[in-house]
Amino acid sequence: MAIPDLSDRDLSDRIVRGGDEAAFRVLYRRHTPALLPFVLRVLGGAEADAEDVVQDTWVRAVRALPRFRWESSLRTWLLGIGLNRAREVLRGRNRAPAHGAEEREVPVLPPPTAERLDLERAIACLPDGYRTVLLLHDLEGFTHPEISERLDIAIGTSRSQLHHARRTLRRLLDPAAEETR
Amino acid sequence: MNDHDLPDELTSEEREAFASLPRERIPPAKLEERVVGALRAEGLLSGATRQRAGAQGFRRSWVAAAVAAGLALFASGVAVGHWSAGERVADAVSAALDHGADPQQAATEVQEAGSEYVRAVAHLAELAGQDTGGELASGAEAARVALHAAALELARVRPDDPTLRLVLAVLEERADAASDTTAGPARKTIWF
Repeated sequence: MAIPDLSDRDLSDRIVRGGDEAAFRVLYRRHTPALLPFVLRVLGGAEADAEDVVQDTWVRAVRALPRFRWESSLRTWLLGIGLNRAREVLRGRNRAPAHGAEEREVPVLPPPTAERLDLERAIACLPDGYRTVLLLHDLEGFTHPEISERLDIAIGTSRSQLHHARRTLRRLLDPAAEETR
Repeated sequence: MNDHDLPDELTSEEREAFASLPRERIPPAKLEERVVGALRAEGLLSGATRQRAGAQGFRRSWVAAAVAAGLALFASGVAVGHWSAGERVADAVSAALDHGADPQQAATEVQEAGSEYVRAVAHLAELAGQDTGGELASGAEAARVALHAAALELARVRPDDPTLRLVLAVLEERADAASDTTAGPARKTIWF
């Protein structure tokens, strides 16, 4: 079987056993197109940081491959590593206070007269905590218990973050309509 | 009423808007090389496989030979008071690409070969700098300028290379210092 046709697991075996670069490149090309926009959104659109996070994610993943138990898909595992690394970057920027305090966090809103934002830009404008929960729930399809476990926050906090994230997002997308609600 | 009691379900339009956001994006080509390079540096990858070695071997030797020729031209150029090696390296890169080399692979190969080149030129500059006489002093200046030109060329194909950034920063600092004490116009003729 040609290398590009191998499963994630077979490719990973080749990387673990012999440091097979060709196998790695196939794996990289298969999953990075999903990993990059995910971490880019978590980081609020910072391209350079996102590329650094993608690199670190792959390095961590390849290091940990011998211990990966294949209880989830490789992609889910990779996104988890990417999420953790991206959150470290956010914390490093001092932009992400502790989740428990974020419920009262004031989002960075554009001036009241600002025109409607597109959805991508509006998501990027959300506070880090709101944005992370919204991305995991509304884009990636995680449940609140899963988000709670992944982000190490209470389920109630996850629900509250999502509520505030959606409300803020609506205000960003259509300030006039949100005022009439 | 607390937050959780508020109506908060997404509307169908909102669901569609989320669903329409792209989940995939083609990463920049240079990122793959960065990641592979980082994994190699960590000893987690062992290098290119034999499948690609044949074609790459040809390209590698071709590019390395071209850069080596540039180095030889540089050395002879210094001997007669000219310095055109930077242009030769640029020509080598362009020719490699014209001959169908994969740009990313060519960049990597040129960087590897070019690192040797830069080291050799740096050594030459060092030797020249030890002499206080006029000829070697101008040789040192020529070497520094050629080193700068070579580094700029390599930076053009590998803009994110941290070593090259460092080399360029040091050279530009020296160039600024030199321009304060020497006439500048002669240096301008070398840039490409």
